[in-house]
Amino acid sequence: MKDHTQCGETPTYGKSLEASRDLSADPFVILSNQPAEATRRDFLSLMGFTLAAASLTGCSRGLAQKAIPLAASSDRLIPGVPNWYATTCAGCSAGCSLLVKTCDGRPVKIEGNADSPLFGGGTCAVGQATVLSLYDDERLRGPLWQGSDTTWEEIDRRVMDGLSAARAKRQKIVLLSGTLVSPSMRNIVGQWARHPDFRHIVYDPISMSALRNAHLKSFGRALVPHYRFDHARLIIGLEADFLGTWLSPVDFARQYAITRNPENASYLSHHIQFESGLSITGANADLRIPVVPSMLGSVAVALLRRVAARIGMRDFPPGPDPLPHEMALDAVGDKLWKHRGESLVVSGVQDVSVQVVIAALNAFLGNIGKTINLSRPSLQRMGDDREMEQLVGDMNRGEIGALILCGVNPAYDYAEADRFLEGLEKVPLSVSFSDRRDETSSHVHAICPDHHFLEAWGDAEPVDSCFSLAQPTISPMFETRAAQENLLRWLGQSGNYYTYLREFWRNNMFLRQSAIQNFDDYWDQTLRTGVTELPSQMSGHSTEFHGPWREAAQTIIESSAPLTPSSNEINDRYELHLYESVGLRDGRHANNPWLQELPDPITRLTWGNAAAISPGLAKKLDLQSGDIVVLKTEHAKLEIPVFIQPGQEARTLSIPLGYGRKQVGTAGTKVGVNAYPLARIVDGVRRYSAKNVAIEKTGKHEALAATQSHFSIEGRPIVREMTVAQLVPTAAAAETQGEAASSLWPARPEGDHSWGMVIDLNSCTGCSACVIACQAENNVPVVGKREVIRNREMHWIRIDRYYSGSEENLRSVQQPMMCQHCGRAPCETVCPVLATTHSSDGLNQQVYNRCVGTRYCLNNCPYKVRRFNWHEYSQNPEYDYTMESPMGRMVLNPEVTVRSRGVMEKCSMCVQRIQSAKTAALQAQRSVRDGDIQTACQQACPTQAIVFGDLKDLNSRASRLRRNQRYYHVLEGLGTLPNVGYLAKVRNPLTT
Amino acid sequence: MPRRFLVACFQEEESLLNAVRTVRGKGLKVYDVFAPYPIHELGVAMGIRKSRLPLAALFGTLSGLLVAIGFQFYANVLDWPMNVGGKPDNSTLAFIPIAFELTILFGGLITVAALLVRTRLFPGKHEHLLADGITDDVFALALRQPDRRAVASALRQSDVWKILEACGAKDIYERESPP
Amino acid sequence: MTGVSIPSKSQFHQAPMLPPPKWVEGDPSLQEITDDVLRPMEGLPGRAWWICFALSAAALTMGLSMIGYLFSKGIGIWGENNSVGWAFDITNFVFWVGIGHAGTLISAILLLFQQKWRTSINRSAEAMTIFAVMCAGLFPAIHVGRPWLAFWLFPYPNQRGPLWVNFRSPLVWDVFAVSTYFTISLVFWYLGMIPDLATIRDRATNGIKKLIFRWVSLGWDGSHRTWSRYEVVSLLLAGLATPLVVSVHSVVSMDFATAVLPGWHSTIFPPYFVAGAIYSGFGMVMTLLIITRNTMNLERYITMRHLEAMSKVLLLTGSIVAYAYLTEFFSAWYNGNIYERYTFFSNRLAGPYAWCFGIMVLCNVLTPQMFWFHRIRGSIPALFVASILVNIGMWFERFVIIVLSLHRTFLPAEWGMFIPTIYDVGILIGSFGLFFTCFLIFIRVLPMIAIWEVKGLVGELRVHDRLVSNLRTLRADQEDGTQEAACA
Repeated sequence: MKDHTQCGETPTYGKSLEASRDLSADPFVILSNQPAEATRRDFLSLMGFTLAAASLTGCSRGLAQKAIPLAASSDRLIPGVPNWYATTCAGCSAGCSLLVKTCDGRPVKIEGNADSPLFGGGTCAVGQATVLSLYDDERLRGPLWQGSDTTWEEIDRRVMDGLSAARAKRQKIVLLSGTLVSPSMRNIVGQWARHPDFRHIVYDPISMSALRNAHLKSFGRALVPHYRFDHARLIIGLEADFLGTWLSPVDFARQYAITRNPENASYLSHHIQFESGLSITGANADLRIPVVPSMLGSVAVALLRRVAARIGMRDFPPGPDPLPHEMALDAVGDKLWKHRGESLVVSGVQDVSVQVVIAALNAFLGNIGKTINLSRPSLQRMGDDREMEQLVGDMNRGEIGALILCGVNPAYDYAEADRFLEGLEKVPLSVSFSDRRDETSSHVHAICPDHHFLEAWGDAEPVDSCFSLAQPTISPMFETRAAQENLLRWLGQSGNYYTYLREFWRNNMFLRQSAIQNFDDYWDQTLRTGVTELPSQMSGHSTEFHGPWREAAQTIIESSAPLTPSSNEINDRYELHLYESVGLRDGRHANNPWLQELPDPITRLTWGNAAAISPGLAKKLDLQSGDIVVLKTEHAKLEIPVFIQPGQEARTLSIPLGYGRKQVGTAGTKVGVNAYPLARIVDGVRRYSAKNVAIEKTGKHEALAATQSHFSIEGRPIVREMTVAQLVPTAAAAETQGEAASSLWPARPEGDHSWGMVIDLNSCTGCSACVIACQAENNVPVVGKREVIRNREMHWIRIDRYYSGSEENLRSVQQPMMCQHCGRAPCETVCPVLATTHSSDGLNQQVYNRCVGTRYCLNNCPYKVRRFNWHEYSQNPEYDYTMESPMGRMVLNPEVTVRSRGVMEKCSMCVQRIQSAKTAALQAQRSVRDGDIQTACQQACPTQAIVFGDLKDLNSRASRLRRNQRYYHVLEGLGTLPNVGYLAKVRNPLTT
Repeated sequence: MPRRFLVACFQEEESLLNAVRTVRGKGLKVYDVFAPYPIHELGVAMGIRKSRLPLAALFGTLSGLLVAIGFQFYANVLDWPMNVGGKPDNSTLAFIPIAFELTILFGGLITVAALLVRTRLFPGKHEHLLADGITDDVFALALRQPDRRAVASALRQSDVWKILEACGAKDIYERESPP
Repeated sequence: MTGVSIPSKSQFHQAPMLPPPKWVEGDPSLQEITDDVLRPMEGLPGRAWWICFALSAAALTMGLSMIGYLFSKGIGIWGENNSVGWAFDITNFVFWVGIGHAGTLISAILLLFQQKWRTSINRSAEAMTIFAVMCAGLFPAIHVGRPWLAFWLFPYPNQRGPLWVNFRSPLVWDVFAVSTYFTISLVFWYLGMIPDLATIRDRATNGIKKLIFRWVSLGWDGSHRTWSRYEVVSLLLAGLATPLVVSVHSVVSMDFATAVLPGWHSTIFPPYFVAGAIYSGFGMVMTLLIITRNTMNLERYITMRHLEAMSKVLLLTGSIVAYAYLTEFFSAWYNGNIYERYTFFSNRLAGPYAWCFGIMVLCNVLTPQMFWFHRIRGSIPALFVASILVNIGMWFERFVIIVLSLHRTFLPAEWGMFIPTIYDVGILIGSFGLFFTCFLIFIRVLPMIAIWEVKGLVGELRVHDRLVSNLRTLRADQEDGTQEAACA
């Protein structure tokens, strides 16, 4: 609980317990005792608040009084003191458990819920950014019929007429939804399914149906297993970016970090990644082998062949190994065999045979039940591409009487979007729950905008029997209505979804547990902790592998003829690899400026996507980054700029999905290129890769908004790397007491604390959650593509990416970089007006009101972490991103000043959190304890790579890490004595 | 009461010098000499005492130095000590450049001020030219009238005129200056 | 200062026989000198003057309007960014301060060294200093993010207190150095002008003109008692201004020398900058004098000798600058610091801005070496071109020091480029507009040659000539005397 007490009294979000009690009476009480109709008034008063907050550079307390919309005040709402509510993220289907900080009634910050067994307090960049989507101006204010405003009564009438009409005509009624992680929602859909002509079709833009089908063939059940990287000592990934985007990255990153801790080197895992485009997972691997997408299958086969040979299976289909990786493959094969039972092979390849081979591999190695959990599968990515294909056909044949779209946008992300739209025209009644007019919803009859998840009740079951609850953190700002409630009403059921949800839990989860007898207590308890784990009900299923692995291997061998570099055919034909970008994922968050400006952890591109090509290919085709090319596949062509990416497989172009939205909002529309049309459905599964791609140069050029232009580390000792062999056993490791600071100057009087930070480069995956967390916590402005191109992005924490080694054996490291809070800060000495000085507790502090903006500090900062407000970025129509509209400004953190034009800013180590923790400690008449304070970046980090603490307290985690043998300062030679230090990255080469 | 002067105008720097020497040789007191540019021998010839303005300069520079050191010490050490880059409050070395500049500034301004005061030059002062063109090409010698010493040495006015003419004065006349 | 003492008989044999160099052509009478110098002020300006004035005024107007836009939009309209925090703004500042160094140097240091050739150029050189420092002062004021608060750089008593400036910051040193330099130069300039202002007053026929010049000439009446004190003070001021000149650019150089950046963090900056400043200053003086002497027919007073003397100064200071460049590279190589080595060898020589470095070497290292040749020193066109090259080169030197060091510092991840916008360039041009507008007005309304000093010089020459002739006769008499003795 101490993790969430930044803002004063200990367990703050104990409050949400009381809150929830009232909620049981009226779900809309959090913000106001007035009934739900009053929401708009509340919204206005909040608007008034944020206007003030943005203009009077926010001393939140002073303003908070007039901000509280309560006429009759509540004992739960203390002006300026935030409340915390546990809820569940709906940013993607992973369903991370969250804690939401609400200040004076507004959700302003999202943090991970440390009580979650799956996610352990971590979040991802998207999750952090969802709070901004709540205040998206593009959200619909109410329901629309045929594109014009209407009332919910009207909607209900028309929809129910339409449904009955469809039933009368014996036409199908289809609910097309994304994967539903909400058990109660699944229950509602189940009720609909009682009608014979109802069909529920699940459609995932990023599909894993190949994996599901493979498991159907291999284990008799179509499912996505729950992977346990934390039990694996050898991790092999084939085109699976499980640290960045694949399936449940926060969970996986947490598990992964556990196995990568060099402090217990005995249990240090090896990680080998076969992939075409460089992903952050590949960047973290001990060994990364670039493989063209079409050869990944044969890599799997080659591995299986070696394992099969070990277990004495003679009748393995013959076939050549994919050259030129033979040596590596032998080594990997040996390793796999050595670690059978504690290895894990995962693949994101959308090809059933490949997935069957992978399943066989894991089965032969005895990983089932150890690193792969089939009895408690993941309940994500339930989509089946074949069904979707059928649906589009049915629609075009006019067999669909009514289509309800829930959280999907096929007109954008379906391969044949045009066919889908044609079909949609033929559907008599089409309803969308989309919160905005998007590519699909602008063509439906009724748009019934759903709540944002921060306004809504709900529950989630991302992994079998791991439940989490979602509660509103603000009363709905608009005349929106929960999708579930719509479905209930149209079934003819009354009552709101909240009561339904509660009853559902009373009849299911409550009965499946025995700890708490009284349901109210159980409900409150669960609501407060946000998560609960129950014994699985899926027992008795076979985990025995009986997959057609020989056939699968055979097909793969046949499909991929041996490719030798000499053969001419490959010279002008290239392959395509489509992937989710860490920032935009499948594209549903495209209108979120924070995510658009989040530098991709690898390419560090913002505001758009580009096709990554290898330096060799660029030289061969004489292309520069930003040159626009036309890619031609059998089905589609795409005009897109290229980006030269070290580590990229020589013949592959990698393109991030999620860009090129046609209709999403001011920020996201027409940003980048939509690559979904290239992701075709081939024999029943959607392929995110393509062969035989031709490249044509157009001669056009486009400036790419990259936040980093130079990636070579120039042989500078900025990022330190070592191998396990170089590590001294922890016992023997002499704990050095920091650096002996020799100084010409007399020591200054110091305060009680010296706040510092230690960043473990070995745990940092580069997922960038910290970047958005910092942006949200510290009101960091979004500056837009033009300013990013001019190298003026404002992020207080950035993730530097460096490459070393050769093109073949590329070493890639990432380094979170923010103000180092130097004890001998070069920036302080040169400021003429004393606008940046050193606090008694070791912080390098920036005084915005005093800063006149000479930028001398910026020039003299060796780490270049200072950020200057070149223009007025708040309340300036030219920068209409987050701080211009009254809506957008509601996300501002009232505890942090909004900086004006002409002022320097930088990481403050979340000084506002430090101060409130100090106040809390003072009130409790104790000293600040280690862990009382978590900076925003630290809290967001799924792998806990960032540790903040008091360096004066020699037993604080930070102090102890500073005595670690891997500890070092960046640019130590300058003698800046930073309070921020790093732990060297450790590689675990295969040879050990 | 208006003062009367005997003014002798010359075309040549040297004839003026001669005149000054001779007149003083005759025991007369030269009231002043006017010239378009400074003539160095005149100082000796007229027996002008060494100026004390350098003392003003000394005073100015010293005051500047002390003010600068004192103020910086007061501001950064006594009144508002701050931890700046971990440096000591009294970073004396860093105070030197400004101390130097203020030394020069005060020195210069005070010296010039002293000059203006001593020579009674001030904006809008109405000049009293005892001869026309002395800012152009005329050198003039002025004697107080009546000169007590002349009387004492029984020199008659006419003798003085003769002497000046002998020295090559182009023009000799008496002129009154307002008090 | 311009003194020769009349030798007593005993000195006759050592007495100088060679005439001192003639710094004034022909033998003008005092009145002619007055007329020559004041003629431009009394007639109407010629066509050439009007054209120049129109051009520079236009440039000034454009610069001012762009500055207005700057204030309304923020300095984001410039090309600077979070990697390159300073670019044109501080480059121009250092450039103009450097220009400003020649004037006071000529009037103060050459005064102390009794260099007589200064007399006919010091007035305009000092004027140039004043205007250059005005241009220089402009940039620190407008380059800050919140220009309306720029006055916070001055340690004034305030109600927010205690709240003072950071006396450890070289920027604050700059504030004091530049304002001191401006004040002292102004005072020095004005003081030196008082006698000439009196001359104008006495020639003035127009009542208003007389009134104005009476006001500013402080009632100067040419009294020798005043003259003698006046000269004492001139010497004192010269003595004070000389170290000041040296200090100003030393302080400016500390903006960079005290920083940690490779390319900035260097102990040779102060002398290196001072030499550079004098170099560029003399370059600018030469440009201006060549123009004015030819357009306002003052060849008589600004002679080839003057230009030649200045070109020798350029040769000296230029060589010092070249030596400083070498030293920078040597120490970068010798200290073995990888960051320094990158900055100099990889970036300056081969980086994206290497062409700037090339221009700098061409103009600052090669150009002045031309002055070894007498023919070049003697040709007006060559000198004119050279003097302009010098200024281009010195501007690029500052650009190289500032931008080439900033855009690639310690962490390669934050490396960036600086691309100037029209506002960067426009405001630079505007500063030239300000400078030339001021200078053009100056040569119309004030005597651009120190009349009284030239008169002093001429007078001294006359004395000398007559002295020499006297000597000849005296010698002759002596010889006669000895012969008679022999006969007897």
